[in-house]
Amino acid sequence: MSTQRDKVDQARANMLKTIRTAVRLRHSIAADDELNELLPLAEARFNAAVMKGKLPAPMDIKRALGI
Amino acid sequence: MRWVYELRVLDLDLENRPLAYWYDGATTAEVTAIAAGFIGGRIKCWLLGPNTMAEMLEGFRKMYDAADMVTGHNIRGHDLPIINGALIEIGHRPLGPKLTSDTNKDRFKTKDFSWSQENISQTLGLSEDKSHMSNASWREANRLVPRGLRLTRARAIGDVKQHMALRARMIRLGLLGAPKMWRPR
Repeated sequence: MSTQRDKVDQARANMLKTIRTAVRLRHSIAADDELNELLPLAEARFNAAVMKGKLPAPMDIKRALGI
Repeated sequence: MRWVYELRVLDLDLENRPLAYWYDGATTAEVTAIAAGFIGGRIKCWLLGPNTMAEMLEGFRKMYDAADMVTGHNIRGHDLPIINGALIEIGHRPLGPKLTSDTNKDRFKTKDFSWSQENISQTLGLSEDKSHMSNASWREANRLVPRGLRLTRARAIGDVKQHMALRARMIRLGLLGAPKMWRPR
């Protein structure tokens, strides 16, 4: 295995890693934005129900995902 | 939002009398009455004199343990810690942690505005009156004489009735924040 080949392999791996990281980060930031919007609303609705003496039903993950 | 379980919410109030001088004009307290009732249910009242301290506290504990949440005006700052002090004094185990909805501590924040139960109830136009007691009435009540006991009973039960109405109104107006866990340790 030549030195040149090793450099190419490394460059390819670096490129793929950067793309993977960038895509994950983009989705992670979008998920945080959505969670920051959703969770306080969900918590407020839950607390409002509890204050009125009602314990909300457990969340159904399929319903939450809309499937 | 769907729900699966109707929570048992216990509304409570206690009356106490000063018992011994302490520091800086403060006194130690002794419970003279406890009134408590589940929302939508009958209000029970224990009075020191007709009931022993142990009967009062253990009678209340049964309701407390059966409740999913307890509510009252300043219960985290006053009623619950006083009850625990009284339980410890007679050698019984204290109350455990409980979800609480305190209409004084969890309320909307304001400035230069009285949030006494009597004042806020009147401000919000509630028809349930607090059974007002003069200093002379309190002296009678705290001596545990028959007329005083009647006054204490009316006061404690009246406070719980008024508080039930107050809390419902505060929830409707968005003046009450989320319930919080009370942890005595």
